[in-house]
Order: sequence, then C-alpha cells, then structure tokens
Amino acid sequence: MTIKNVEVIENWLISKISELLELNPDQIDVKKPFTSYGVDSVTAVALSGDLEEWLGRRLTVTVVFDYPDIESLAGYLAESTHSKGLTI
Amino acid sequence: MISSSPGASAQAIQKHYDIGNEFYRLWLGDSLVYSSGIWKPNESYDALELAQIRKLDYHVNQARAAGAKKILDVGCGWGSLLKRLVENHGCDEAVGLTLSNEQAHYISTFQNPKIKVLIENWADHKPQDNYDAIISIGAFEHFARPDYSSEEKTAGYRKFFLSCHKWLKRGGWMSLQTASQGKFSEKDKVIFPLNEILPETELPRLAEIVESTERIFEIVKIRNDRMDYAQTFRAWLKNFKTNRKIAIQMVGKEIVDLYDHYLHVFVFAFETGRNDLLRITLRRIDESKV
Repeated sequence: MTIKNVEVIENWLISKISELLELNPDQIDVKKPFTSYGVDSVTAVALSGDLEEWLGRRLTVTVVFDYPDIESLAGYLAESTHSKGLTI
Repeated sequence: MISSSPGASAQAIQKHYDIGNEFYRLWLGDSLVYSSGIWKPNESYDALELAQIRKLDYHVNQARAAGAKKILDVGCGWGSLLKRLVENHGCDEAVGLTLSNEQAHYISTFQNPKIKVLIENWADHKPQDNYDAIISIGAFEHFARPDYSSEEKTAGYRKFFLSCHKWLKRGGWMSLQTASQGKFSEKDKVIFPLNEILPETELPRLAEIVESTERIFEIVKIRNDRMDYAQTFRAWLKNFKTNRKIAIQMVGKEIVDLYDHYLHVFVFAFETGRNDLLRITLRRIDESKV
C-alpha cells in the first residue's frame, strides 16, 4: 500500500462527501463513521457509484458499510486497487 | 369491469406505468424493458440492452417457448418479450396482458398480427385456447397489496398459479421472474415510501411462492440473481442522471426527485440483500387433482 494512494483517495472522499452532503470539508474527520455525517442508503449508493466511476472498477454499496469511515475505506481501496494493477 | 384480482388495481398500475413512455425511455433505454437483465461478469452498464435481450431469451428457453404456437406473457410491459417471441423465436402467436393503457397502445403500434395485447387483469383472463407456455417477468410484484397477511398473499398467488395451470396445455412450462423480500426481517426492510411510486404493491416472500405452487406446478429451478437487478438499477440510474434535465422538462422536478430516490434505494436494496430477484422455472403437474 502506498501512502500517496491512500492520501489521494482520502482527499477524494472528503471532497465527494462534502459535495454530496453540502458540508465544509474542514468539518470532516477521516476517523469518524460515515453515518455521523448523515450518509444514508441513498448517499452510500451515490458515493459508491462515483467511486466506481473514478476507480474504474466495480464496487457495491456494501463497501461503504464494510469500511465505515474514510480512513479505513481509503486504506482498503488503495490496497485492493494496487493489487488489481490499477492506477489512480 | 370490477375485477376480483387479489393484486394492485388498474388505477394503481396506471399511476406508475402511464406516466409517459418517453420518460421511461430516457432511463430504461430504447427496448423499454422494465425488469432485471442478465449480466456477464465485469460487463459495462452500456451493455444494458444486451443484458435485457439475454434475460428475455433466458425465459423463452426456460418456458420451452421457442417455436410454440401460442404463448402468454402476464404483465407484458411495453411488449419486448412479445416481439422477441414472434420475431426471433418462431412463435405463431404471443398474447400479452397489461393494465397499462400506455403500454397497450404502444404495443398496438407494432401492427404485428402475431401479437395480441389485452388491457386485462390476469384474474379476468379467459382464453379460448390453451397456451403452450406462460412467461411472467416483473409483474408478480403487483399480485399482492401491503395490507394482506401472508396467508392472504399465498391464497392470491395460488389463485394465479391455478389459473396458469388451467390455461396451459399438458406438459406446459412457466418461467417467472420477480423481485422478492430478502434476507432481513420486517423491521429492516427498505425504508422507502414504496406506495408513493408503486401503489398497492407488496413483494412476495420465496416461501409464499413455493407454497402457492404446491401440487399444481413442479418447481424445477430457482435462482436468486439479486446482483443482476442491482446492476440493472445502477444502469438505469446512470441513464437517469444523464437525462435528468430532459426528464424534468417532461414530468417535473418533484417526480424526477422521487424516481431518483427510488432508483438509489433499490440499488441499495439489491446490493445489500434486503431484496432478492427470483427466477423460477415451473413445470405443470398434469396429474394434479387440485
């Protein structure tokens, strides 16, 4: 896992969540659960769909619940994207 | 005519399906198939039309309908299966039942003498001749209402299967596709005002379908392909987002927001297993004494 990839993904997630939920990016703590920001089933689908498009790999909404905060989700995606030989 | 159907009324069906064919075309695609396709692994959302054709052909094969004289499609939508049966599978006659005026009118524009569409509830259907096969895709979801008990639902489904048994020739097959309740309990069901968009609709449980076919049909195969429906809903959502501005011009922002929410919710429902997508192959029990 490369630190740069994790950082890139974290920053993307912060930007996307603040856009979807109309929050200030400074309000987002990467360790806090998505649900604490008000991410619900609809937002989770939108988030996973945009992630899918950005990463170019099939993702389902369950990834948002299996890795329920930005830090853990970014870590998982960086590792699994790297192992698939994809680049961000 | 007042129908004794146990499912959604004609008015309820029309509220959803008669909103406008061109609105539906924006996100369903040109084939206007409003049910789950069959996807190959890693297939792009752009392959939606192909996934739909694959689904239609799957059901034709499961129902042993290819080359048959007369096929019934219960809940025929905009007629894509009817067309496929007579144009690609050599069927002499394909009869479709729908409660939607818009869908029936659309099918009439095919002007194909082998295709017949009836604005009729299955409970009121009285064919003159028997069918070689029966297919029903994405209609069974409307065969029960939210206020029914499980016993009432099963009784209603049994009435449907008894009718199909009567309509089918000896040795006939059925192929059914329906969304169903999934692996979670009642309290964890998808929280969505389903009745705002699909009035008088309550999804079946697999156990209710199985019980309702006992001693009438042999269940030969059951598949749960919920990830197919998840991918189909994601493909529809992608088209919906692309055409959002046009959709608003057609039907207004309030309806567009409602459908946007509905599409998101059902991606969630099928990806998490709150709902399943059942494909069931059934063979008529000719010796049935029911």
